[in-house]
Amino acid sequence: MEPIESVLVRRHLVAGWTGLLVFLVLGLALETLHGFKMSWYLAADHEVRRFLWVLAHAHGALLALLNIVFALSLRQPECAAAAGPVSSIGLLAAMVLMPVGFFTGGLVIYNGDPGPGILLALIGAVLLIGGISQFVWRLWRRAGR
Amino acid sequence: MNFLLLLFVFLGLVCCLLAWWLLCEGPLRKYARLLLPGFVLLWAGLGWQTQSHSILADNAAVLQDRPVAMPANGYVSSDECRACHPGKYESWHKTYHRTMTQVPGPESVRGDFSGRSFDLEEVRFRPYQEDGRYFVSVTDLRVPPDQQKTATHEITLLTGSHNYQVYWYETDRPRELGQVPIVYFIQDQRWIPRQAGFIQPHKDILGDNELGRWNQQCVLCHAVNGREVRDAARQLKPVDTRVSEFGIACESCHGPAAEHVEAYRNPLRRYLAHFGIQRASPLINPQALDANRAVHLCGQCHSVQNIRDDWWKQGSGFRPGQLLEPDRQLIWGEPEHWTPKSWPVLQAYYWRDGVVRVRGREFHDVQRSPCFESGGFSCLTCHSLHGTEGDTRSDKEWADKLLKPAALDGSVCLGCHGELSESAALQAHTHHAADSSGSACMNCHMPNTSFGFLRGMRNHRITVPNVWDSLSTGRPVACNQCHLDQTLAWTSALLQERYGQEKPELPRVHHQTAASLFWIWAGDAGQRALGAWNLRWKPALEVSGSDWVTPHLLQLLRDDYPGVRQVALRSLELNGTLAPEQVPVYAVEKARERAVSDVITRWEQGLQAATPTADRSRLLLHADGSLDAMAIRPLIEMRDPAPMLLRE
Repeated sequence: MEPIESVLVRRHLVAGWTGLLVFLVLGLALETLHGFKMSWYLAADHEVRRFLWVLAHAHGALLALLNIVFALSLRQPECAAAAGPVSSIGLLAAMVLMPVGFFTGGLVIYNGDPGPGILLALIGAVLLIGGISQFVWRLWRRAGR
Repeated sequence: MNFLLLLFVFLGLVCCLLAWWLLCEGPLRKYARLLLPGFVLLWAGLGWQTQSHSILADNAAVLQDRPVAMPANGYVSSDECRACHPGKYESWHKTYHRTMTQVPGPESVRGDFSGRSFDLEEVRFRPYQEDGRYFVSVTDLRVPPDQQKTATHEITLLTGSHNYQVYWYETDRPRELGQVPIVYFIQDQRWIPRQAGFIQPHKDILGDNELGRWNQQCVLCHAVNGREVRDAARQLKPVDTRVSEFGIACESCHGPAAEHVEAYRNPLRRYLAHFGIQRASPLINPQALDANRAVHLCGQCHSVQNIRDDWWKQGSGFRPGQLLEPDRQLIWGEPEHWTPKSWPVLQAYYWRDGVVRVRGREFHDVQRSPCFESGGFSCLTCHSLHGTEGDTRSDKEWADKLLKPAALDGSVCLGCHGELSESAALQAHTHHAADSSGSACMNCHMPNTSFGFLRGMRNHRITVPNVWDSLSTGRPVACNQCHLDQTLAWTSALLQERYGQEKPELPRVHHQTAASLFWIWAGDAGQRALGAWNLRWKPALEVSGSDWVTPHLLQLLRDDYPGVRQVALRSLELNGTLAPEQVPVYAVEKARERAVSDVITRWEQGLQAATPTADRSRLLLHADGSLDAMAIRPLIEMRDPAPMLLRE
């Protein structure tokens, strides 16, 4: 049976690099909207949409990188020992839920407020904090020994 | 501020990296738990520093000795609106309403402060900049050179950004402003004496610095929630003029927003409102008001009114959605409202039948328009403060008059008068080609009989052209504002023939003299200025020709009223007769007369080479195109010599 560390490394590397590709393509799409001066993206009335979609792109790309960094840090024995299922699931779920939440929150907007999709970003943020908290907590515990 | 914020974020990142290094690898790993809270404290401290810096900046503004902007009385300023209403904020931000009152800066100052000096009425002015501050130095050249002193005023507040800009400076009386005696005329890009920007008799250019006018009058309309915080016991000077926001902003039309902002800070309330489940603390939406209240909303500034005496305690008591009275006493111009003493005051605003003759007081005309009286018609029928979706004009074009696209081509009128939407029907109604200026609704029913910013403006009392009103009030009839070369008798005959209007008995002069010239030569200063502007109005010149207007405009450069001279000068510059600044219309009388005579002589010499044309007696010209002074003299004698002041 394959060691759990290897499974995690492969899972986060695949997810991270795939996410990076998806969210960089999203960034390109947003720049294209700028290029064609699409009013439903650029007009002041849609400022919130623009902001949320930029957040989706930025969070997606950064969280993808974070997943790759996480996978690489698992090569360190202390980190590998500290990584648990909550950390892994938290990071993966955040990479999906946060950008999707920001993106869908920008599809329907109410003046300065995002649409209900933004709740996904909130759930993703909670999972991310939970995952990192577990990882940090375990690192601290090991550092204290 | 931005620099501090960047520094704050940068230091935060450094702290995080350092902490991570200490935890995992560093030599101080055993102290890491103690150091981390230290970094958090440091970061928090930096945040507090940034915040205190901004508080100090606000206090610095309060310490300045000019009126200050500080939210109060439930007003919170437009900054609070932006987060939730970015589109509305941005469209308002493009309007000249926003920039009605500003503090000076590179973005707000429109005048030429390059340091070039110039003389107006023997007073030397030099507007200049120094260290990002704006000054105007004033030297009275009329006193002997050894007694001449130069006064220098630092500009602390500006009024206007569209047509002209007025400059205010601090005086030795706390927060009370004085006005620089010159204004910058933006469309002409020139400095003119303040008095020349209005129709009023000539007075000494340094005679009046309008001390306190901003504090007592301008503050009511050119800012949000203007008020004076006075010593309640003395109720006298010094005044402490405060506003909630400079310029005409969101809360001017939507009402004080503190309660609304506070209620909707709660996201749950916002989403309940978005989903239509619960609404809390709605603000006034002028579009949703009935026509009368919508007109009253604009009328808070665009009317002739008196405000109650104690307004200074808490500012205006009027709130959007209410009727103006009892907070304001509306002053109407119809003869039934006159008292023996009131007409000299009222004529500064009204024609003799109560139609408004100056810009900025449109409330009274809209209220008396048949379209309003039949219901549904208001200022917002034609104007929009937030633009219109699909409008293809530039922001600047829209902001010029804030007109909706449908108001430009008259299609807004067809909403009620749909029977005229077919070309044939329109042509039958107007007796003009359907695509001509004679078939444009506004040219006949909202002619340019109001005056402001030294030009003609649309009358907002939607009327049917008739000669009777023109005879009794002196207000130009719409037909003759295009057919400048025709007499009132010609107009009268056509109105009878085409529309069955009763024909009045007309004095002989109206059979012999073009109506436009009658108003120019026999009219009061307001009529003369309006006439001088009319002689450059493109639709009129296309109909009436332009080869006869120059001698009349040249003579108007001799007018006693600086404002009339300025309008004539501009018309002559636009028709190519004069180069900019060729005639010093603000020099002392002798120098001015010399320059005007020179120009007229040169122009008449040019005429001698031209071929004489047909009889032009109706245009008060000789056959060679020169002015018929004998024909003009009796008209000048008909003028009312009483001083004329138009209060825009």
